[in-house]
Amino acid sequence: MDAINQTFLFYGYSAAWIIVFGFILILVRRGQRIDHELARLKSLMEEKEK
Amino acid sequence: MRDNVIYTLGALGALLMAWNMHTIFVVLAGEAMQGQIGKMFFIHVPAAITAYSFYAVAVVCSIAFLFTKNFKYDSIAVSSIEVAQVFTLVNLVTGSLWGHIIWGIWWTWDLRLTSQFMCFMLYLGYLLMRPAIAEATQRATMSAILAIFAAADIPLVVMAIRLHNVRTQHPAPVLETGGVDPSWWPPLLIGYVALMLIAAALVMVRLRQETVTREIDSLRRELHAI
Repeated sequence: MDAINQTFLFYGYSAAWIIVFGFILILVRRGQRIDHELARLKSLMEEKEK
Repeated sequence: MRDNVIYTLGALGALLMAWNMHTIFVVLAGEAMQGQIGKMFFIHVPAAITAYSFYAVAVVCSIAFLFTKNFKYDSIAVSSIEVAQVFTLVNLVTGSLWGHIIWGIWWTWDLRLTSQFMCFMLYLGYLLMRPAIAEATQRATMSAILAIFAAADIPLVVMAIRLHNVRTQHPAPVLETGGVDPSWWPPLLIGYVALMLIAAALVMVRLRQETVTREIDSLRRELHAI
């Protein structure tokens, strides 16, 4: 019984870390996308101003 | 400077969490009745309190937005809610794993679990609603109203196991009734501090993205105007 308890405790903490790291991954990807979009719009703006 | 603060908060939170997990898994004995699975308490409870702390920040900022119409408050509110959702999900998942062992079921629709699930769904609705409203002021106003409305569910979650005339599957409150062994308080509090530090770092990252997104929107408007 204690082995199952230990296993599920491990699952719980693993799930917590997976959820947090999954969110960090989403943040990183979103950050890259918006930085790229910002750079694209800034260069477009410069072109139009010329 | 801001990056340094984010990295410091995140690293400090992760280190505290790692040290705390060593205490929880290696040093502390299992709970008298539940055994090892009782230690789920150290992630389940701090995750919930962290989530409520950031929902509270979101509510205060939403009220501030409605009074001032300053978009900075809207950005803080959405960033806080997104991060709070992550910790609400951690709370729901760890609770379900604990329930599977102790109750023999993954889930039950009692008042505590249902109200917590409703809290998650209401704020998920908040996050899904935002991209559907194009106009920034309207989006921020509707979001602020929904954030305040959804927060009405949180007292229900807290009180669900404290009402005398409601029977729930969820255990009775232990924090304020002396039901927690004195040796369990330090890892519980350290767990909360660690999660708060990690959550604060995540909110700061998300807030910066929100600021850049607003800059992108204004650049798009300028480009259309030229």
